[in-house]
Amino acid sequence: MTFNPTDILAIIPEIGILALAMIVILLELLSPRQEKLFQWVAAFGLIAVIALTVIFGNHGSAFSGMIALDGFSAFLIILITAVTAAVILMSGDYLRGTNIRHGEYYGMLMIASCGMMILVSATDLVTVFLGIETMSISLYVLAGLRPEKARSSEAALKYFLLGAFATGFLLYGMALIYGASGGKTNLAEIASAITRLDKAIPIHLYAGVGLISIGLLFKVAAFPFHFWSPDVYQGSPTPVTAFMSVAPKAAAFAAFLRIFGGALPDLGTVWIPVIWVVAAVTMTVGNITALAQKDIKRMLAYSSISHAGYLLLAVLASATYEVNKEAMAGMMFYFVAYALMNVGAFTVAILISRSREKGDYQIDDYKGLAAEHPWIAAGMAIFLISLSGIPPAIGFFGKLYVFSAAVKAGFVGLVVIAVLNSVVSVYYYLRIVVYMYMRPKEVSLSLKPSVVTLALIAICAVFILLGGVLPGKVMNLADQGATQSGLEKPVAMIR
Amino acid sequence: MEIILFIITALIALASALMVITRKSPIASVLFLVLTFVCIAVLYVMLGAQFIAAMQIIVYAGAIMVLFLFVLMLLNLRGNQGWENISPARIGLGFAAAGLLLLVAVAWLKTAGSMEVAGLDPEMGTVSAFGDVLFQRFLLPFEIASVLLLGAIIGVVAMIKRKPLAELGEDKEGKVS
Amino acid sequence: MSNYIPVLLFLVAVLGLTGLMMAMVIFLGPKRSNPDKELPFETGSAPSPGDARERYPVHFYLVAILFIVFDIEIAFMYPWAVKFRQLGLFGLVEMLVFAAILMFGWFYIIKRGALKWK
Repeated sequence: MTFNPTDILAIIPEIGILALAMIVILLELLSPRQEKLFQWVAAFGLIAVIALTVIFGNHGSAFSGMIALDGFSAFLIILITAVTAAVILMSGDYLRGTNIRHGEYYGMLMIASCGMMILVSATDLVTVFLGIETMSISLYVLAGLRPEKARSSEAALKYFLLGAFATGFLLYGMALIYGASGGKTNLAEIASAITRLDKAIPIHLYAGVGLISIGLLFKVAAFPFHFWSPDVYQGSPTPVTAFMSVAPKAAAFAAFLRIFGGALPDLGTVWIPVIWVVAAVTMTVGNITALAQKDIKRMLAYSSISHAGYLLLAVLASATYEVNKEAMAGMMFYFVAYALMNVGAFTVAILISRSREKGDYQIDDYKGLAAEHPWIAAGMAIFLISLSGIPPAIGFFGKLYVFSAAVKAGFVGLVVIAVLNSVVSVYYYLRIVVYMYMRPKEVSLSLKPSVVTLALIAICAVFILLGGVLPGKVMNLADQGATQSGLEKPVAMIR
Repeated sequence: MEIILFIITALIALASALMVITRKSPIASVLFLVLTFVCIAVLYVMLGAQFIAAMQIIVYAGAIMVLFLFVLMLLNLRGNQGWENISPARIGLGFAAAGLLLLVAVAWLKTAGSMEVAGLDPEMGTVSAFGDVLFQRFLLPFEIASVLLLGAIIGVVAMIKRKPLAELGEDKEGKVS
Repeated sequence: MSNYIPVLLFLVAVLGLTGLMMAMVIFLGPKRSNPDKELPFETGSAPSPGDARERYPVHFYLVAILFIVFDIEIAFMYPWAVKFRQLGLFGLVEMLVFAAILMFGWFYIIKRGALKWK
C-alpha cells in the first residue's frame, strides 16, 4: 500500500478551502439572504486556511510523489489564498448590483483556488493537469456570470473554447513525454529518465515539450497565445478579472517553472531559445499595445501580458542549476509584488466605475481624481508606480530579483530588452497618474467607498511601500521556500 | 489477421472522420463522429487498452454525443450555413497546409525509426491493472477528479439557474443605504 | 486476440439476427399504408407542428451536462468494483470520499431545483 495516513497533512490547505467552499454554498442554500455573512465566513475561513498552511507548510512530498507541500508551494498557496480573500472582500459591493448569487460566486472562486493550490504543489504531470483543469473550469464559469452583458458571454465563450483547445495541446504533450520517458509522469523521474537518455532524445519527446509549452504559454497569456486575455479581462466581472490577472497566473507560472526547470532542464538547448524569443516578444507586444488602450481593464490586461514576459525570465533562469533557487525565489517575490499592486489597482478601478452611470472603465474618468479624492488617487498612484517598477515601490525589487537571476544564468541580452520595456511601460502607467494629478476633472465622481474597499486599498498601498523599503523580509521568506524546494542535485547540463 | 483488422478499422475511422467535416447536416456529422469513436475504441482494444476502450464508448460515444446533439439544438442551425462562403482559394490553401503536414509527418516518421515501448506490461491496459494504479498510486488524482466534477456541477447550475431579474430590483431597494 | 472471438461471434449474431428480422418484415409482411402510419414517430405523442429544428430550452443542456458528470463518476466505479476485494476497506473509504464530494454537488442540484421542470 503506497498510502500513508500522514500524507493527508500535505493537502490540508486544499481540504480546508474545499470545505470552506462547501460551507459557504451550503449556507446560501439554507439562508439565501445573508450575503454579508457569506462574505465574512469566506474571508475568515481563508485566514484559517492561511494559518493551516503556515502550520503544515513544510510537509514535503506526499501521495507517492504526486504533490509536495514544500516551501515554494506553501508560499504560493498563502499568496493565492490571500488574493482570494481580497477578491472576495472587494466583490461584495460589485455583486449587489447584479443577479449573481453571492455564495455560489464565492464558492466558485474558492474551488478555482483549490485547483491553483493543487497546481502549485503538483510534482506530477497528472496532478498538474487536474489542477489546471479544476482552476480553468471554475474560471470559465466565473468569466460568464453576467450573461445579460454580451461582453461577459463573449469572454466566457472565448476563454472556454481557446482554453479547452490549449488543454488539448497540454495533454497531448504530456502523453508524448510520458511515452518518451518510458512511462513516467513524476517530474523528477522524467528529469532523470531524460538524463539517462543522454543524447539519444527521441523526436516525440521534442514534440511533447513543444505541445506542453503551447498549453502553458496559453495559460499564462504569453505571445502568441495571448489574444484571448484582453477580451476575457474586459468582459469578465471586474473582481474576477482582478483574480484572473494574479492568482491563475501565479499558479500556471509555478507549474511552468516546476515542469521546465524541474523536469526538462536537460532539454534546455531546445526550449530555451524558443522561450527566449517568446519572452522578448511577449513583453514588447504587451507594452506597445498597452500604450494605445483607452479602457483601464484592457490596459491592465496588456500590462499583465508584459509582466508574463518578465516572469518567463525566471523560468529561463530556473533551468540553470546554479541559479535555480534564486529564480524560484525571484518569481515568488515578484508574485507578492504583482498581487499587491494588481489587487489594489483593480479595487480602485471597480470603485471608480461604480460611480459612472454605465459602469464603464474609461481611463479618462481618472482625470482630476486627486483634487476630489486625494487619498484614493494617492493609493492608485502608488499601485501604478509599483507596476511600472520605479524604485521606492515593491515592484522594482520584484523585477530586480528576477532580472538578476536571469543575468546570472547568462540571459543578458534578454534582460536588456526587459529593462527597455520597463521604460516604455512607465509611459502608460504614469499617464494615469498625470491624469489624476494634472488634468482638470471633466465629470464629478461621487465615490461612496465602503470601509472594506478603503481598507483594501490602504493595506495594498502600505505593503507596497513597506515591501519597497524592506524587501529583505519578503525575500528571506521566498529564499527559504526556494531552498526547500529547488533542485536537489544538478542534472547533467547539455547547455 | 490483426493487421487486416487494424487496416479495416483505421480506414473506417478515417473515412467517417472525413464525413464528419464534410457533411452539410450537423446531425449527420455527429452520427459519423460516433462511428469514428467506435472505431477508435476498437483500436484501443487492439493496443491492449481495454479500459480506455470501454470509456471511449461509455463516455464519448454515449454521454458526450448527447451533449453535442443538445448543443446543436441550442444553436438553432438551419439549412447548410457557412458552406457557400468558403472561397476556392481557402480550400486550396487548406489542402496545401494538409499536404505540407503530411510531408512533415512522413519525414518525421522516417527519421523516428521504431518507437520502442519496451518494458511495458502487456496487461497494463486491463480494467484490473488500471484499478490497481488508480486506487493506490494515483489515489490523490482520483480524489481531485471529484473536486473537478464538483466545480463543473456548481458552475453549470450557477450559470443556468440564475436569480430572477425581478429579485434583483428588490435587492437593490432593500440593501442600498 | 483470441479473447475477442466471443465478441466477434456476438457481433455476427447481432447483425445476423437484425438482418433476418428486417428481411422477414420486408419480404413477408403485408404492406398496407394509411395516413396515420405515414406520420413521423415522436415517441407516441402527436407530431410537433412546423419545423423540427426548433431551439431547445437551455434546460436540456443542463440535464445533459449533469448526466455526463455522474456518468463519469460511475465510470470510475467500474475499475473500483473489479478491484474491490483486493482494496478492502481502504478502497471503500476512497470511493466514499470521492462520492461524498460529488454527493454534495447532487445535494446542491436538488436544493437549487436545477432538475425541476417549470
